[in-house]
Amino acid sequence: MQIAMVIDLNKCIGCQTCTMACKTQWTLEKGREYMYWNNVETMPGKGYPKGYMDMNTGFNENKEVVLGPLPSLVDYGKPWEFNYGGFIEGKNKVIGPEEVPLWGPNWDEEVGEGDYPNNFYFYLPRLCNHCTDPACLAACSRKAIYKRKEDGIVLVDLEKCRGYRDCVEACPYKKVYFNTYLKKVEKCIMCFPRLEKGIPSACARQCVGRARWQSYLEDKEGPVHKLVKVWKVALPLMPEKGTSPNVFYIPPFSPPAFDRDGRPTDKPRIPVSYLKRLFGDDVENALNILKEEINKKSNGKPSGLMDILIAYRHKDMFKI
Amino acid sequence: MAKRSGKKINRRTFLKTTGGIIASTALFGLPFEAKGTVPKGREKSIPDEVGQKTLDLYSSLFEYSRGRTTGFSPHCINCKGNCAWQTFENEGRIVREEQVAGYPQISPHIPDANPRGCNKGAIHSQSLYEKDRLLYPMKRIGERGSSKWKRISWDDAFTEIAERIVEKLSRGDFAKIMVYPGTGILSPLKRAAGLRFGSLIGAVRYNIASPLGDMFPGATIAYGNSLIGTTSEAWYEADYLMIIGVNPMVARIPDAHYINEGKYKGNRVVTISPEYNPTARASTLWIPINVGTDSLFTASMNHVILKEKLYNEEFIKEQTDLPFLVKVKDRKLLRGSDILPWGRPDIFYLYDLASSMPVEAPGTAGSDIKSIRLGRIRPALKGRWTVKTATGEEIEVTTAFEILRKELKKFSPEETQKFTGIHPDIVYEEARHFAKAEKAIIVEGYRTHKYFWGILAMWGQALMLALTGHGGRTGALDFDNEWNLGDLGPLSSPLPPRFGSGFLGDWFDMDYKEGFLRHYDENEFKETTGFSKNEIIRLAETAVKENGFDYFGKPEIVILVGDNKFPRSSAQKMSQNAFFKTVELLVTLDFRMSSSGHYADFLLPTTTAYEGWDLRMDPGYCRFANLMSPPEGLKLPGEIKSEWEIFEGLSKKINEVSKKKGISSLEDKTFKDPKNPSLPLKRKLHTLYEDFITLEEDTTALTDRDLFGWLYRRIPPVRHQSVETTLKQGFVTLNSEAGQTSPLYPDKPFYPNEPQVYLKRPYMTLSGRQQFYIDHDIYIRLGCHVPVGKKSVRPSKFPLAFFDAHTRYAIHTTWRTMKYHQRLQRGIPYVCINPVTAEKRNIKDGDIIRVFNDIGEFKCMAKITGKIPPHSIWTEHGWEDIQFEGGKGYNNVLAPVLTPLELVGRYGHLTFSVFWDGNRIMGESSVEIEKVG
Repeated sequence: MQIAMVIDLNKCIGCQTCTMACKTQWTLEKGREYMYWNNVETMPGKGYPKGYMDMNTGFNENKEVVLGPLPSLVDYGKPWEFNYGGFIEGKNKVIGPEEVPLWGPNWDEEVGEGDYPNNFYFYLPRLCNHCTDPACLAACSRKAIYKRKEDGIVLVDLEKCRGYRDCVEACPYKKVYFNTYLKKVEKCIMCFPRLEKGIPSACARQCVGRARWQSYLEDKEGPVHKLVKVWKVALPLMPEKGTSPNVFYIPPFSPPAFDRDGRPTDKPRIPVSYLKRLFGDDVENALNILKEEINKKSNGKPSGLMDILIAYRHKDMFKI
Repeated sequence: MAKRSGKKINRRTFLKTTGGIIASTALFGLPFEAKGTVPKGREKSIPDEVGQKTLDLYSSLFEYSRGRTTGFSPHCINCKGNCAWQTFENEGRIVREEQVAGYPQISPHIPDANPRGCNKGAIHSQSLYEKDRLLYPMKRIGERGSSKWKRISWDDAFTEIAERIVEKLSRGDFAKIMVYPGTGILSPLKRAAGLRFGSLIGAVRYNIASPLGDMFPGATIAYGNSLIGTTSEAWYEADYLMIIGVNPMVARIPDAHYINEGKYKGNRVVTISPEYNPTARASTLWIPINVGTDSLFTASMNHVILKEKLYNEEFIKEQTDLPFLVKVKDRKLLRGSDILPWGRPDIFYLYDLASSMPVEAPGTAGSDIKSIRLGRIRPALKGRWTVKTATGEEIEVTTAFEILRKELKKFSPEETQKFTGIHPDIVYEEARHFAKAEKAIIVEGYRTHKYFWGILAMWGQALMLALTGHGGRTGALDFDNEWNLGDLGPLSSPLPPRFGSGFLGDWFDMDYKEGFLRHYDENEFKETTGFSKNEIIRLAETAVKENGFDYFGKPEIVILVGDNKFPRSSAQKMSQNAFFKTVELLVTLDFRMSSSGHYADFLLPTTTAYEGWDLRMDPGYCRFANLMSPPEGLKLPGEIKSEWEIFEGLSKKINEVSKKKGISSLEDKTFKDPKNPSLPLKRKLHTLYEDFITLEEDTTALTDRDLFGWLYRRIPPVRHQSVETTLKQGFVTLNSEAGQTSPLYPDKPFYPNEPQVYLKRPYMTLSGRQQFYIDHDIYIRLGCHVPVGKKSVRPSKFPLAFFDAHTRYAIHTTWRTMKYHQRLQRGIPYVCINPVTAEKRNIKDGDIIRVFNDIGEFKCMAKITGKIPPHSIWTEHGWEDIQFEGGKGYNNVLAPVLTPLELVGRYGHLTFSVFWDGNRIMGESSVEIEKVG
């Protein structure tokens, strides 16, 4: 069995509630301050850590794990401490970070690409993909990384981990992090202690955009199976990395671009070629299916797909 | 399923049990090139199980986060959210929070409201224990703003403050004391403490929306009511949604899903904004508009609706004043006083096609008929007639509709494009879509009225809806529905308070006219507004002296409760200096160090929304009242107190001090004694404490917990649910009594004005209808007697417009300095600049720049993005002044200005009240930017 998630990029509003829900659940502790097991980045953008998409790791065509550069703390974004105490005591004149900010995990938020008025951007929430073929696991010489049989969650055994960080280098999504205090690696655990109690993962349950569905990929009654396998509208990020992710994305629409005179055209602002780079060639088909089903629903005809995506009942978004 | 042991690990022992090595520095490698591959096949030896210790570690961490005891909180700061959160306590502290997500679905056809919340709510727990939390009463011992504080006892703080208050009161200077519960607290009980105290001692309070620019006078003109709106469920229903002056994806996070879900059922969502903001991104169509030209866009929409006859005549005839007769000569409405010597001025006329004569319109303010039902009257919309006046004169009349048509002819989309930048094709297309929509909603926000002609824009939006017959359950202007809280008047105003106009209060208290005079060029201002600068200043004075806007003079003692005055003031440094010319004592109640706290004489530490008791119902965006109740095991940090306990303590001390000085009760001649109106009101200092805690006979409240029990019984919309159930589930679904402008049905979204549309009850306007004709001299002089469009009044002496909008990382200044939110931004304040604008000035992303004009300056970081138009720069609002060098915040460059349209008073429903007050207008400022160093 594989626990899996679908994230709808049309419903994600970039609010970072998932990021904060994850932060308070798992990464407030010492050594984890810079970590966002769940983060939301603006695309097009450099991402978190900076430039991870260009590091070209994962599996190569020979099914070998490719190790890449190890991102620096600056690439992730230093978790600036703030000088509150000093300010109240009159030592500082301004409340702010204790060091000069140079980069952060969401530094290029809503910058996007394209000239006004044809600028475009969207949000990409990311967590560990709990891949079917995890590159992190393949890269670990300590055999400290496990993929659980019962739910497919990829976990690092903290007793076995020695902090070599080959896994950090191998993961094409850079979703394994080095704990600077424990000197071991840690990553998203898909909130397994919550799942064991029947509570969906924090990022999913707390998503106020109602953009996340969570269920077992094999469970035909579950929303994830329906969206991924039946409707084929949810796609993995960077499928060419060969890890078979289990987090899937509904690709984003965008309002029309304008011509030189300021008239709306029939072209979306986000070029389909750009979406293909992120989600592979299947994205075109997915967008077409979505369009067709929206049309059906607009004309008063039933659409099972739209009913799932509208999500009439929050509870129905999860089957765990 | 993995095996788990019962061993528990908490956050503190977590580090010990994992045998952590003390890390000295960050142990990251420097970036280097790819170093090759790992041998094939290694992944095949997947081990069976994860070590139990690892599983236990994470499980224990999770269990710790679920708390020993739990509470609830709606986060009651100035957020329009209002969401049910559960809080988890461990070791006396709140360790985490999570949405309740238990709201019932109202209809199988509408998505439920779960799990209302946002990123700020999701991490508020951390702000409770941050180093900027105020824990003890503190007294300033250095220069104002020097951060030199001395910790003092509550008793000392109360004594010093009480002595100063009694000194003022004993001289009869009631009006020199201001107790200002601001928008930082919006839950009824936390607010009530300061209001009640202020009311008992006769202190001044202002309309809180007005000094922020959060009034909706454009809507008041049309409806007589500025609390109009739908529940956000209606966004899902409406097949046409126009979003303007608001960015719901950022400012209405808990409600935003209804927009996206509605799009999946085929709704047309159109966003109008200068910047390609997150709501524009999520829309069917984004219409980029030049800053400050919204009224021209609206006028062009109405132009097309009239030109292409997309309007609904029946709706217009019955529901609006457009068939009213107007005298051709002076454009004044034909009134009862014109026709009969003893006629009333609030009687108006229609031309009845059935009887071919003018007839009195039913349902107006002066009419004996309390209904707008037309019966046999068939009002003409067009035509010219002659009527005989009381003096026997024959005068020519026409309809307001004819005048509207004539005026709006000037606003063709081709003409308005010159100012708005919007291509005419878009306007034609959208007007048609809008008119034919089954349900059309215009979602407005708090930005439009921060522009000089924002009042016209919103009035014009109401007109768009009225012309196309969208009213009742087929459409609405949606901006601020508020529920019926029951009668809390005796709680917050046991005695008459001094209630002042907010925008004029700040205008005078903070000498706003100085910034106004400096920033606006006389000739240019007169050309765009039709008024000279001195005329505006005189109008402000007249508004107070003659037009009924209350102002009580400059305050000398100010107590701010949940109000962060300085970061929200125009021309910030100038106005702050002006404020302290008269203010000798500033007391700030807050839970954290804010900009206004920084400049205070006394800091009094309060509880936050996790540590007190309350029930939040407003605003009416959702249909739930959410509970505030602390977890049983919670220990309050330091010596913090609830607002109720603070004002209770202060009241007690005033009792003591006045007794010592032999002062008992004081005559307040401004008001009459309610029991004996021939006598002046008595302010009883010697019984202040008893009066404060005594809610009614036999009921006293010493704590906010006591108060909660009393409140719960008094709110009709929650009474159907027992308090025990509410304490268990954290919220109440409101019953039908919650609706003020319409009934709230259990299974349908809420829309306003149903009684008017379906039962023909009069609107709260002079005409008894949706009003689109104002014959006040100022309106006629400006050509604004109907909703037209006007050019921006932004001065040309600096090249760039500067505008701001809400941020997703704070609610105004609350949480603005929180490191967890700043880490997801840039750590320090920034402005967004178009790449072309930046390149011209050699500014690169990340550079520190100076933003300046002739009234002030500030420094911040440059963020370069093509989402911003080249003619302007943009920042998120709510930065604290104390985040900027020299304490100079971004408001330093925002110039104050008043629009004459909002200074009109004593004209029917345009009379000073909670619905009619003006706005802090600051969107019409120009700046230049340059790179620093």
